[in-house]
Amino acid sequence: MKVKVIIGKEEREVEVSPGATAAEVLKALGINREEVIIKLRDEIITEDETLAEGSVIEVIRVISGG
Amino acid sequence: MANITCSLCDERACYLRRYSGQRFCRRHFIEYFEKKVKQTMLRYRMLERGERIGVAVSGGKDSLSTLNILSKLAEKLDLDLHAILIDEGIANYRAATIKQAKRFCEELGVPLTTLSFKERFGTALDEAVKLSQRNACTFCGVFRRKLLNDAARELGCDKLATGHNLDDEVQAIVMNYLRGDLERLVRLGIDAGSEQLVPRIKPLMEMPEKEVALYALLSGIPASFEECPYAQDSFRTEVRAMINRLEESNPGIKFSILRGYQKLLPYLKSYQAKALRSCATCGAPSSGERCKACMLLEELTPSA
Ligand code: SF4
Ligand SMILES: [Zn+2]
Ligand SMILES: [Zn+2]
Repeated sequence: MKVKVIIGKEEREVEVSPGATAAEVLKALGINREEVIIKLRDEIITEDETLAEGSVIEVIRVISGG
Repeated sequence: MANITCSLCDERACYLRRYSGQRFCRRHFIEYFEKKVKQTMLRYRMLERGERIGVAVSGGKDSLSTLNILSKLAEKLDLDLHAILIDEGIANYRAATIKQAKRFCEELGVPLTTLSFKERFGTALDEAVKLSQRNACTFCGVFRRKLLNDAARELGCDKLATGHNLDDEVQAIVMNYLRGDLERLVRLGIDAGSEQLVPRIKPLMEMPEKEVALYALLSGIPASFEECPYAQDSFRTEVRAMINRLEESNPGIKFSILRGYQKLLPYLKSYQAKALRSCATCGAPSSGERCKACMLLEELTPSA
C-alpha cells in the first residue's frame, strides 16, 4: 500500500506492506523514531498505530540545535 | 481500524513510552511529565522554598517547558522566577525565538531580562564568527554561559535553571568519554556553585528530548522549532545519531548511560585534583590562569 509522508516542506510517497505501522514507514525512510513525533489527521499518534492505503502522516522533528 | 488507547483511560494514545511499555493520552501524558519533573527536582534537591530562580530561556521547547513547569510550582513553593534571555546576535534566527520567549513570559507573568553579546562584549556572534577561525558554537557556548551567570548574579538569583534534557546530558557524557576529557566529565556532574558561580539546576535532565517536544506541543507552549543556522557541531550530531540508534533498539539505554555515569561520579571526584582557580582578568572560576571567556574576548579585540 502507499502512504504519503509530510516532512517539513517535503512530501514523499512510500510503498509499504498492507497493515504497516507508522514505525515501519519511518524505518523505510531511514528516520529514527526517537527523533520525531507523528501526526495522522492532525492528531498525534503512537508509532505503532497501523496505517491504511492512502494515509497521510506528518513527521515533526524534535531535535533542536542551539 | 481501532485506535490505540491510553494505558490509564479510553482516550487515544499519543505517546508510547517504550522503556516502560506505557501509553498515554494527552491529559495523562502531561500529568506524567509534570509529575516526573517535580520528582526529579525533589530527588536532586534542586529547589528550596522561597528561592529566587533565574530561568534561562531561548524560545525553544526545552527552556519554555522548564519555565512552564517552574511557574506552576512558583506559588506553592513561594518561588520568585526571573527569565533570562541571551541575545547572541544571530541574524535570521534569534529575533523570532526572542519574540516567542517574550510572549510566553508575558503570558505567565514572569519578568524577563535580556542581555546581548553586542552590549556586553561589544561583538555580536555573527561578527565574532567573521573575525575568527573558530566555529560559532565555541563563542556562543562560552559567552552565553558567562552572561547567564552574570545576569543571575545581578538579579540576586539563588539558582539558575536551564532547559537541558536527558538527551543533552547523555550526549555530553558520551562525548566526554569518547574524547577522554575527564576534566569535563567530572565537572558535568558537579554543580556545587561558588561565590562566583550561581548553582545550576536542570529540571528536565531525566526527560528524553522527544518527551519534552511532545510536552511543549501538547501544552500549547509557543516554542520555536527553528534551527540555528550555525547548528552543525558534527561530533555532537554523530554522537546523537549513535545514541538514538542504540535507544531505538534498546529502549531505556539513555537512562542507563546517565545512571552509569552517576554511579561513576563518586570515584571520579578524586580526580578533581586540578582545583579551579580564579581568572586573573575577571575573577571567574577557571581551570587555567585566565578563563575561556576572557581568552576568547581577547582574540576578538584588535591588538593595539
Ligand atoms: S548552534 Fe551553536 S551558535 Fe547556534 S545557538 Fe547553539 S551553540 Fe549557539
Ligand atoms: Zn489517558
Ligand atoms: Zn575571565
